[in-house]
Amino acid sequence: MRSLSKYRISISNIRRNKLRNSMVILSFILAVLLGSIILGPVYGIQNYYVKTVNEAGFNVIAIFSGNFASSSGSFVPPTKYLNISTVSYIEKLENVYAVAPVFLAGYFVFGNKSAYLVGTNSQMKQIATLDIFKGNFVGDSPSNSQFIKVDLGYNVWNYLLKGIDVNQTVSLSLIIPYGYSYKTVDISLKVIGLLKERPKIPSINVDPNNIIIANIYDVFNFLNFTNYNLVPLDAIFVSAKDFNSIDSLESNIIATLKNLGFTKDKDYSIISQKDALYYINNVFSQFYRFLNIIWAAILSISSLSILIVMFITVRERYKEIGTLRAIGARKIDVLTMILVEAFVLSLIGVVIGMVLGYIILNMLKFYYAFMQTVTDSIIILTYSVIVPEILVSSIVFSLYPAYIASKVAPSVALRYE
Amino acid sequence: MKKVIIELKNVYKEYVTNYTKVLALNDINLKIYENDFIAVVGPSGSGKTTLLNIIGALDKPTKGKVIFKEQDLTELSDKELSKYRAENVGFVFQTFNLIPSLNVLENVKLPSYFSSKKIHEKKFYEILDLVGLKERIFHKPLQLSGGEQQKVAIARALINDPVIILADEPTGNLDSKSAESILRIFLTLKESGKTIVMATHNLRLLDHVTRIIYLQDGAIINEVIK
Ligand SMILES: Nc1ncnc2c1ncn2[C@@H]1O[C@H](COP(=O)(O)OP(=O)(O)O)[C@@H](O)[C@H]1O
Ligand SMILES: [Mg+2]
Repeated sequence: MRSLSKYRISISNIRRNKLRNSMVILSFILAVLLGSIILGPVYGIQNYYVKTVNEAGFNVIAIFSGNFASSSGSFVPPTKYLNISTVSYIEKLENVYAVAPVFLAGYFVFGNKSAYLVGTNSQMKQIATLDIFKGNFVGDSPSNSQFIKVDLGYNVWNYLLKGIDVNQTVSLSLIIPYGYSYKTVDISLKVIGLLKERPKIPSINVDPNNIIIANIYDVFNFLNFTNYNLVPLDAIFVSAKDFNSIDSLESNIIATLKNLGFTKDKDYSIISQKDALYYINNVFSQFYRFLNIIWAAILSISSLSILIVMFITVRERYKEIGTLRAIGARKIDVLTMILVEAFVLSLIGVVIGMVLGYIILNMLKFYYAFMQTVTDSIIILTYSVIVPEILVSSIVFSLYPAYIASKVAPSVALRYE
Repeated sequence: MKKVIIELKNVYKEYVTNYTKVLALNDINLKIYENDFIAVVGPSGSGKTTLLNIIGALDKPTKGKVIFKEQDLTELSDKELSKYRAENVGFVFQTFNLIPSLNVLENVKLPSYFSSKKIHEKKFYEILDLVGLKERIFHKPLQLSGGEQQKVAIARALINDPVIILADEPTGNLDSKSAESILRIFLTLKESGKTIVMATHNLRLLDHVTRIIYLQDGAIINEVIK
């Protein structure tokens, strides 16, 4: 192993042409800055979506009544509704971990805010990974009392009914659909649990923090529904045993519903966490293909700047290269010395760019809410993608000038003025 | 009988440019002995630099052999020639050719970066003392006079204990006083047993050398042995 001391020459050369080298360093600073400002937020937003989908529940397959995502964008009412008996068919399927019906009974109005009354069962807690802050989650059998036992979503007990606690009772006006209109009925609730805050699920309109959860039979009884099987459910949430069995369970559910006489995408629509992740990643990968073009343009600026500057440098140092060769430097020594010089130059720019990028990304958080998604780990992720690309392309583009330098015939170079 | 260090046998060097051919060396036969101090003289363009470059393996002859330790240098690879230069040759140029971004000490250390010879740190200071620049080690070349720069270049040429020192008009860019002190250094080196080949126009030197080779149009037209 030859001594590394020769690279001291490369380092000392960097201080030599300050103006020119500053331009190169600047181009590398810009590459890192632009790269992190363009890619950082995209990584941040993608990560945010993926995270919220992951946190939305435990291997969830959601079945909604009607065409939830029709091409017209509006809800198309189904001809046949999901109901409580559908739940019992799904429960029997292989790889099912939990099943919960979802019945949106109506809503409560608090000023300009509102909260939904959701009828479901105890399994909803696992399926939707709801965390209890205090108290218990609703049970599976009706309470048979004048008060309906409920769990309050985070916003409900923190803002809408501020100060309310477990075991307290409250009377509210519930607004429910009635024919083609609405009617208001008074309802008495007993709080048995308070839920922790959780992120809103993208594309689902109901904010999980703005709900009041009750046992579904309590809700049916309150509304005087006698034949439970005739009550149309809004959705059924299913948890698969593990992530890998989501797909097979989803197709089993589709087959079962078909046997029961449901038409997919008309009577019901179905989406799993896996579908959602796939969809998100698919949208983003298209976006990345587009961003890569911009990124390539940014990279080419820094790469060309190092190419040109190293060419000028080599040309300018012809005689020195000849001298080094006369002293005993091999071709490979000359080559690597030029490469090290280029690498150190770009590294200086990259490091400054990383520091500035970090500061700027954090400053942008004050002005743009979506920039909150650009956490420190997202910034590190962004750097881990762009920095190696910048450094590698810098080396690749300085290879040619370095090669030219190594090919210089020493006797000719020494005559060079 | 003194030991032959390097021998040139029927060496020709022809430069072919777009329009003309120049015969820079024309059938050179030369034996360089241990502790020789050879002055190569001749008009500009007579082939002095070309001759030194071929002895120092910076250039290959078009025809002929350059024998060093029973090995023909013209057959060696670039890597082997680099090793030969690093370990056996010390170059001194007319234009000093120091690396401007490095200080005096670093310039003197330079050859050690490319050689596998171990050099004791003490030696750098000893050699800088020898050329009288011990006080200037942290100065950059541009802070030195021409004569001082050439002294650094000589120190650099000596650091690897070369078998031969090749000096191409080392006083050509210097005033007579500086030239005088540079020549004195070379004479001291000769006294200490070094072998030196120097292209020169400096007639003052000719009294002190062991041999004078007269070049004209690439050929040795006369040789004086003292
Ligand atoms: N690379 C080259 N291409 C063409 N001609 C050259 C080249 N190098 C030297 N010469 C020619 O070779 C001859 C000898 O040059 P040189 O060895 O430099 O002589 P000196 O050092 O005695 O002045 C000159 O005529 C010069 O023009
Ligand atoms: Mg010459």
